[in-house]
Amino acid sequence: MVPFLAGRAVWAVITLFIYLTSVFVLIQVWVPFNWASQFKLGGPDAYQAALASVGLDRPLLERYLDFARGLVTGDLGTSFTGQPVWDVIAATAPVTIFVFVVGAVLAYAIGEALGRFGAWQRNPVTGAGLSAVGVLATTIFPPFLVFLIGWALREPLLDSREILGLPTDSLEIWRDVSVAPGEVLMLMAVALFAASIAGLALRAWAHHNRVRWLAATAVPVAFVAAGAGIALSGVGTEALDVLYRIDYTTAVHTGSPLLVLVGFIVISFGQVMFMMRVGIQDQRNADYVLTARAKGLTEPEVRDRHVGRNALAPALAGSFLAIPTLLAGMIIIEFGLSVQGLSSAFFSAVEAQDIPLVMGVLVALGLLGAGLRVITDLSIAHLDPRQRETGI
Amino acid sequence: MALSLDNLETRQVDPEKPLIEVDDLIMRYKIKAGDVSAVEGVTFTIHQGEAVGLVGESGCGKTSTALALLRLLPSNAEYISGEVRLNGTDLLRLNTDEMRKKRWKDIAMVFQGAMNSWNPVYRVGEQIREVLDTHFRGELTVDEQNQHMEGLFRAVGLPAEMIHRYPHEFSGGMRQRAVIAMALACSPDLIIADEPTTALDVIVQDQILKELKRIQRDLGMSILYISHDIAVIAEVTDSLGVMYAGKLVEYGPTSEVFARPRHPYAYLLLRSTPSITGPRRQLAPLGGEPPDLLHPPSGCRFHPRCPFATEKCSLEEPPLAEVLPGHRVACWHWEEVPELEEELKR
Amino acid sequence: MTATAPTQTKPLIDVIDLKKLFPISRGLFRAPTDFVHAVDGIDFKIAPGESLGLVGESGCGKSTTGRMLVKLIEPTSGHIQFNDGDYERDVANVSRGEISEFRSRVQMIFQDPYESMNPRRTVFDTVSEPLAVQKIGTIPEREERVLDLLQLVGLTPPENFLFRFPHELSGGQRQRIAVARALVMNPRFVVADEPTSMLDVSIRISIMELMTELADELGVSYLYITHDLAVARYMCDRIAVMYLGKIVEVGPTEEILAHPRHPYTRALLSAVPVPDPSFHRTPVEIKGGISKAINPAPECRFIERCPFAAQVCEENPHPPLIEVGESHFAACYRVDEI
Repeated sequence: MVPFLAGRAVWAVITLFIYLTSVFVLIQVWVPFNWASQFKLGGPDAYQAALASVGLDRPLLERYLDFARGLVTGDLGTSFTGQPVWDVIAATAPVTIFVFVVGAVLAYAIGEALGRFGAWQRNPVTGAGLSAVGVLATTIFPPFLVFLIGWALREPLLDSREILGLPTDSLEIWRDVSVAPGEVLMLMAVALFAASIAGLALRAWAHHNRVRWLAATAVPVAFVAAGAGIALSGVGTEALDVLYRIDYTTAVHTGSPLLVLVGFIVISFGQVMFMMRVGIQDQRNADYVLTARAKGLTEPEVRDRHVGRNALAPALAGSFLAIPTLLAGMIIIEFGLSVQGLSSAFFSAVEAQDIPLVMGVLVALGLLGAGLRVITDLSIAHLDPRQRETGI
Repeated sequence: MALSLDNLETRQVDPEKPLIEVDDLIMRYKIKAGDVSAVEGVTFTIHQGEAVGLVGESGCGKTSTALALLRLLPSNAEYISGEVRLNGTDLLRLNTDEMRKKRWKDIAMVFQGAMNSWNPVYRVGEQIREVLDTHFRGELTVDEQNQHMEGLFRAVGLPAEMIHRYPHEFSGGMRQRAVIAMALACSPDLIIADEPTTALDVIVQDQILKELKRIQRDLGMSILYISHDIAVIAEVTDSLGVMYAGKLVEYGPTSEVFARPRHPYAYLLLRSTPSITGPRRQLAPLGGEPPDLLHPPSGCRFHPRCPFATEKCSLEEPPLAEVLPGHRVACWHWEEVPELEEELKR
Repeated sequence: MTATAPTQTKPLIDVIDLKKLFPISRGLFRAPTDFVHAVDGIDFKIAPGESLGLVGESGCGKSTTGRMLVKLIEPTSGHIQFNDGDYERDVANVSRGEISEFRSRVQMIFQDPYESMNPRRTVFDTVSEPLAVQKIGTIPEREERVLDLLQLVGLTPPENFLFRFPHELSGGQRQRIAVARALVMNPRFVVADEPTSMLDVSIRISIMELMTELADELGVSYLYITHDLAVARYMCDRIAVMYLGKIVEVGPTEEILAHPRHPYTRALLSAVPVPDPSFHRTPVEIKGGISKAINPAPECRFIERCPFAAQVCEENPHPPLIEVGESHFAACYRVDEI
């Protein structure tokens, strides 16, 4: 397994390197060059001045090395708004990461369960119904989705703050706390992700050692434990507040990460569901399925333990790889729900032609993508032992 | 039921007593174009400790018959009539759960392309353990299960520690042995072996068949071999049935059927199989193709290709009747069949 | 050392020290150090009009050999001399421009009748393809030719089959079409790689009958590749037994079946089931073995499994083929003692 991991890590680094270099060339060279060439009309001096203003007068290699150095030290330059790029990213990334990570896990769980259920159905009405729901969810026009969410969920969500005992003025909650909202979000993202891994590992152990009750309850228990941990760690109220909304500048009602999470799940579960369904339909006529039935297993056992498990790896691969493309839909959802996440930061930066910030966001997204890729490879290697042989 | 450490109990067999009685089984597949008559009135008996072979070409219904014994036919299959009795109990009348309990425990199966019987994402031992958990829930500890499985592997000539490996780590022949080991896991009364050695090399095939024969004799198990490989059937079975187009056309002791085949199809099939012994080439005047089972021929299903066919054959179906002691044939002209012997000698 | 009876005319196929090595890559940047010796220096001749059976278990190199003979794979070293009247070539030297000429003389029939035909093309397209590629004849002329061939291979009435698609036909019918396609250019030599193993017994026999009839009528030679010794016996006058890339025994079929001299041949023959319950065969027990020769040691390939392995086998390289009877050769140092 180790050579496999090493091979995958090497590939991830290589791809990241190519990606970052391309980003550099595109953003630091091509775009400013294009912009500066409009000044050619004003004469050579104006042109030179324009080039100098975007730093194109310095040698390419020097700039590239600066860029590389900056990456390594975490200095991504200063945005045209004056803030260090790193700060902007640190402030906006947590929401996006939270939504992606938790959203991916939940969307996956829902999509997988529905896919399995739908594929095994003999009843054509249920099957068609699930298909329709999945298609609608995947192809829904994001602004329309934002509208639906806002219209249907926003008020009940805010009202329920009172039921939970959260003060309506969020500034009060954050007044004497030493931790930033972004950090709390990251904490929750990490805790919930770790809970899912721990839960799955525990379930696998329980299966292996035939402790049935544990196998069934492992994942929910892990999530509950994670939640309890967050609550008891002293930032419970803050965590809840952050979920409901995040706004550290004013106390005005602003966007709720929870709603963005719902939006993300809606647009992504459909894809998982379909891939799972196709995977199951593909596998259900495999030889080993007949053997499983012949052994005297019940239909659900055949469906879940055998066919489902085999359909899992390709479904996983497909859905994880689709995540970066979901960013496009995310921009609109974040925007529409007034949440300052990475996507909307990116959008604003592009609008303002804030090159350092654009670069910074692209770097962050590249890292996220590389990380996701390694996680995907690991998951697939775990699920399908045949994949463990191949390294590079 | 305790599985001894030697993992498999030898049972007392009475070769006179029937284990499985297939009684006039009729089964059809429903497809858009109509009903495919796949198994049409098949009747035969497998006795305790007996090795029975069903031989025929693709589409003749032998695999469907085998699957019918375990009620593993696809969802578009319909049991029209007939009985399949295991020690007197009609399996076709059991409910789903009762049947499920009988699967593997009483009747186990080694499938065609058995190497693909393994789910690639689980270890081989896990998949055998599944069977033990299903049929002996709570009776064995994990350690006892492991010991049992190691014993099974040793019994089929595999290294015991390989129960912890994945299927793709086994070679073709080893996977086949592992499948046999799994089939033995619950010590069934009958093993159905559907083309158990088709994709294997000759030397490995020989070893596997020897293994099966030894298991059958030592443990008193009955085996039903399904194969289109006539040479294999000749060597490993005690009794044999020849199927054609969903019908059982000849049935009797293997040596008898080979020595005196009396159905024209059986005769042509058995006599003209290429062999490394005997005459090098024999002309096999068996033209045409097997019939379309959506619209099978009237009367005897073989009559369009039969050298002895007369008008009677196209109108009336011959019954499977005992024409020689213990030897049943479904043909109006069975007595004329030895004439083919002369023709082949030319 | 040649492995055939002396012939008056040049052999149709003369294979000399043919080798094919496949590299096993061990990493992205490392040159391969390990090779699978799929075919490791074999020699044989096929006379015009003769059929040679190449038999062996999976991994012995028989399919690879067949593919080299029709130029689907290029040999690593060695020569395949093809002599057809005034057309004499080393198959490796056939250039791109000459390929169509070559393919009109040497053809192949594959094992899988379900995979070897393009499902989108009609029978006519498939069989006439070689003609179309070489721009031979007008369309009506090609139709004539295809109809003739369909008749020849027993697909009657041929008009009914001309514009069918593969999925409308049975395995046996498809394989007949494969034979027709192989014959459309009147080849001298056909390599048949397990053409009947996926077919039912009765169809199998009829295809084999067809091929032998055509061999007699048209003077076509076959290299018949199979793992089934009974089938090889039916089809071939001579048999070569391969093991891990080497030919271990070659000679007239009946002679080898009656008097196998190489230990592997004996083990192989003794393992073949016989469709006669009264026949008692005594299998020669040999241990299990590997299926591929990776960087093999120089001594006899069979040494690990041979029940007769002795010091002379350990101390010497893989034995050459020695004459043990009339046109009968075996590669074993101890062949006279066992």
